[in-house]
Amino acid sequence: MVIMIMPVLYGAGWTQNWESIRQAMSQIHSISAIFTQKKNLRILARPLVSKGRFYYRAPGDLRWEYQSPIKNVLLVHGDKVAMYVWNKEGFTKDQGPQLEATRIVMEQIASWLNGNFHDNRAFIPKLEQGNPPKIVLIPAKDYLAKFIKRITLTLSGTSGAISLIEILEPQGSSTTIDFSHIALNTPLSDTTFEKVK
Amino acid sequence: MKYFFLLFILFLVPSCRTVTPLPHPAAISTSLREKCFPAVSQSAFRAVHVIHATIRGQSSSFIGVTIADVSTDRIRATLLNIEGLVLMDAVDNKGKITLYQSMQPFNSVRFADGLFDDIRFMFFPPHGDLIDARVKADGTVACTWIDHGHVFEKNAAVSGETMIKEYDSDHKIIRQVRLSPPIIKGFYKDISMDHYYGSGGYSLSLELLEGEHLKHVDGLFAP
Repeated sequence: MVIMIMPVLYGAGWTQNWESIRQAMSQIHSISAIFTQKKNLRILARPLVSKGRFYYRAPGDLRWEYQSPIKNVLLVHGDKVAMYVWNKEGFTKDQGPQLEATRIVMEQIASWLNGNFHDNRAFIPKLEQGNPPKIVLIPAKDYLAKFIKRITLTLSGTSGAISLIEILEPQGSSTTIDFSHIALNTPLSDTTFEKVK
Repeated sequence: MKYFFLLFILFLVPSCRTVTPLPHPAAISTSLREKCFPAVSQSAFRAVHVIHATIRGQSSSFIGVTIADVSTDRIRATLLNIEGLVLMDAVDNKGKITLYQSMQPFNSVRFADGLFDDIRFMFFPPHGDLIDARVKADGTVACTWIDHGHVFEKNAAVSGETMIKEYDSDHKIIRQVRLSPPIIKGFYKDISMDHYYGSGGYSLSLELLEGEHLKHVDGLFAP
């Protein structure tokens, strides 16, 4: 099932309260989507735009694949995390020190996709009803507050799906990740999360 | 004493043959000097690059935003991971470094100092005295500077391909950068740098995402 994200009316649906959100998200076994990431920095004239594909399989497998301007693939499969980047030699394993920061971000995303907003002690969640409804996450730890001021997850009209992630940094920079062409509960093979190609 | 003097002359003559006499700096014409300092490197600019770094066989990729004002010797460098997280944001104002934002292991002034030094090497005209400038038979403009005993050689081919090398006072190469066309709005599309530092050294490969020249930059160096 492929869903184009469109304006929808949010009534007493899956976003009504934490329990309905957790229940709806627990029904999601896989997600695949296209994403557009925009990085806004005060020193940039225009946002830095990256595009790619995203795959998730419960409980924690992820494939986060940038296709432009850099080809880069992050694979999370069980407890294995690997990042590959495209360069003149083809895809090579990225072993840089920033991998740890990336892993933490991806763990957070996997946790949200499972609907576990209260089990995660790194952020304090707040549900904001509206059209569309949003979940606002405020860092609970000082070390996170240095880099993240607030994360806002915009909930999709489709039960259990997130359509937009916005990360606001203390210095005013922000990152938005806009998901489209979301497909839920389609079968995804192990290869998607194990192999770079 | 006469024999000693003769020995000295005999020793000196072949030595002189191996050394190419360099012209006196004052003898370098204005037009040659201008060729050594292309106008593009004199201005203020903002550039965004994809950076591939290889250190001791391990590779890693970043996005780098550089704002530089050559005339006032100021640089702002922001290093992001692919996901857009700011790993380091710092300013170098005439050698004085201020870290605005940084994450481990990018949170040291030493790291920032090395980064700014590499940015200057890639984008700024070399400091020091221009001691030689010539146009080779194939049209390559070759320029040599000396600064605190270090020698900087720049060879700019007619194709636009430019190589800059830095040697220490023992004439041992420290680092080199290759700037490769196409040149888009005055910015090289590809830059590769090899740093022969200590036992391991490192390599950087930069691919231009966007570049623009700036008229007003003062506000861009503030936190």
